[in-house]
Amino acid sequence: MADRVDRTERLLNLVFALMGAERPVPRGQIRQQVPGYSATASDAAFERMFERDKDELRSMGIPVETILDDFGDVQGYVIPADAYAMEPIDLSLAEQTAVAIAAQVWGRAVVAPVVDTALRKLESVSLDPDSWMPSDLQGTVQLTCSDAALMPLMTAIRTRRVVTFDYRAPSSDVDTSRTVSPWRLTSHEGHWLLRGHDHTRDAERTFRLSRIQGVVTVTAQPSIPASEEAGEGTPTQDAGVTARVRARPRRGASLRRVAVNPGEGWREDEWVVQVPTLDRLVSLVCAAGPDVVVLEPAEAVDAVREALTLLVDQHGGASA
Amino acid sequence: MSETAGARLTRLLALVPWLCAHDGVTITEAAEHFGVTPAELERDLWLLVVSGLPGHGPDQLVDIDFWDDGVIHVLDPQTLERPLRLTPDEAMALLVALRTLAQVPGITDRSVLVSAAAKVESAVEGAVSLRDLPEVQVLVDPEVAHHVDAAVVSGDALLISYAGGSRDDVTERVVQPESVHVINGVGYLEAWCSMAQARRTFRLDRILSAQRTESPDQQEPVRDAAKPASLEALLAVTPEAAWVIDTHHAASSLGPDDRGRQLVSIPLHSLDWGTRLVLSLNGQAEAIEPPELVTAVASAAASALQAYSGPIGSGQ
Repeated sequence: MADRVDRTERLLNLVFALMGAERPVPRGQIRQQVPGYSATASDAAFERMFERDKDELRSMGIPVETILDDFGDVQGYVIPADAYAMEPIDLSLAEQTAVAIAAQVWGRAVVAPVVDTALRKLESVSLDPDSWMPSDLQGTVQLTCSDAALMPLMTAIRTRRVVTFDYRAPSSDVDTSRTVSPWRLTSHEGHWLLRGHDHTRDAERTFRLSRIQGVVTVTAQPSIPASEEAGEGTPTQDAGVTARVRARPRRGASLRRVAVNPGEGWREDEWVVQVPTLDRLVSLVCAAGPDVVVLEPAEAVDAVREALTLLVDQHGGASA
Repeated sequence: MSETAGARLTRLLALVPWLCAHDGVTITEAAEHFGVTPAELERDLWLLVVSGLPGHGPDQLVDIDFWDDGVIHVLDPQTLERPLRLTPDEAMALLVALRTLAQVPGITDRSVLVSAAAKVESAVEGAVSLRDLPEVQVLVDPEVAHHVDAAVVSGDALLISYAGGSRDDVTERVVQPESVHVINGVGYLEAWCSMAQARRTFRLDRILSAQRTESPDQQEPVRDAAKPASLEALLAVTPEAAWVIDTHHAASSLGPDDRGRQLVSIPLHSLDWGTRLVLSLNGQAEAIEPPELVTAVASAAASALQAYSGPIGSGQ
C-alpha cells in the first residue's frame, strides 16, 4: 500500500510532518515516517525525490526552512506555522466586494486558477460572500490571455530571472530559441507584449506572447536590470518615421490620431504624423484612399506611389 | 488526471480552511466553489482524512465528517485551519485586476479599489513591487475620461467628436451615456446616439473630445454604411503580410495559391472596410472576391494615385 502513495498524498504528508514541528525534522526521520518515501529503493532515489518535493512546496509559497547545526550541517527541516499561515486582512465590505470583482476580471484567462485560489484563501480569513454589496464595478472589466507564457513571465520579472523560450518572429515561420531578461509585460489592445533584453541578439526587444512557442523556462540566472526608459510608455513606441500629410476636411481619422500635435490633427487639414515604420505610414495613407495625400518626405511619397500603382495593377484598374 | 500534484495540493490546503469557515456546506456546493466535480471533491476529502501527523494515531489525523447527506463538517483540521499566505503571484494577479478596474471611467468609488490594493499588497509584505506588475493600458484621453466619468454619474448628455466607424471620418454626435466597460484594455462607452437614433458602442480611445450638453434629443439620423452583398472576402496574401491572420481572428486560411500566397477568407463587415483593409496592406494582399471589392480597391487606388501625378504639395 505504501508503495502506491501518489505524489499529492506524499506532499501533503510532508507538510504535516514539517508544519509546526517542535524541532527540525532530520532527513532520516522524514524518509522513515512520511508515507511515500519509505519504499524508495536507494538513498539516491530518496534524495532526488525529497529535493524535488521540497522545491515544489517552496514554489507553492510554503516556507520550508532548512535548519543548520553549529557546524553548518543540515540538522533538519521545518515549516514554521506563523510563516505559513495567512493573517486575516482587514477589508471593509466595499473592499471585499472590490477584491471579489477583481478576481472575476480575469474570466477564463490562464491566470484564473491562481486568482481563484487567492479568493478561496481570502474567503477563509476575510471575505464574507453573503455580505458583498451591489457594485457598479461588476462586469466592467474583462481581461483575457490564453498565452501560457504569462504566468512564468510574471514570476520571472518579479524574481529577476532570465527566461528562455522559442519564438516565431512575424517575418518568418521558423522558431528561434531566445534567452531574455524580462522587464515588463503590457496588454495593448488585447495583445500581451513582453519588453526585455534579448541576450541572443544583445539588444532590447519587444516580444508578442502569442508568438512564444511551447514552454517558458525560468532559469536560475539573474536578469540584467531594465534600462531607464524601458519601464515607460508603450513598448512598441520607437522613434519611427515623421511625415507631413494633407486630408479632406474631417476625413482620414486614423492618421489624425497619430498626429505629432494632437490638436493640430483634429483642427487642421494638413499636419505632421509620427508612426513606427515607413511601412506603417504607407499602410495608413493608402488605406485612406483619395482622402489623404502624403506631402513629405520624398521617400514616403515614392513608397505610397509605388504601393498604389501595384494595387491598381493587381486589381485590373484600367482607370490609372 | 491531468492536474499536477502541486495544483491539487494547493486546492487541498485552501479547502480545509475554507470548509472550517463555511461549516455545513454540501459536497456539491464546495465542488462548485472550487471548480471541480463532486466526485473529485470527495476524493480530496478522502485523501485529507487519511493524512496527518507521522505516527498516524487517531487523534493525529485530520477529521472531517462528510457521511451525512453530503454535508461537510471539519471536526479537527490539525495544523491546516488557517490558509497558506497569499503567494506573490496570487497577489500580482489580483493587483493587476484592481489597478485595471481603477482606470475605468465612470466608477463612483475609486478610493475603495486603491485601499483594497494597498491591503493585498501589504499581505505579501513587499514581495511584489508595483513596478513589476503587468500593465493593462486603458487607452483614453484623460480629459475625455474626466467628462465621460462625470456624465455617467450625473446622467448628462455629451457632445462627442468621434473618429471611428467604417468610413474613417470624424463625426460630431450627441450621446446619452449609459455605461462604460473595458475589454483587454480597450474602453467602450455604451450610449444612446442621437445621430444614429439607436444604442451604439463607442471606443473611448476614438472619442477626440467630449463636452457636457443640455440637448440630448433631435439630430439628423445618418444612414449606416452600405452592407456588401457578400459577407466573406477572399484575399491572396504574401507571407510578409501573413500577420493579417494573427490580427483578424475571424480569418481562416484556405491554403496556398499557385503563386505561393496564402488564400485567406475574412468576414467582410462593409465594402468600405474591406477596401481600406486591402489598401492598407500595401499591395501584399490581393482581393480575389467579391468582384465589387476588387473594383472598389482598383478605383480607390487609382483615384488616390492621381494626387501624385503632379508636383506634390502644390494642391490636390
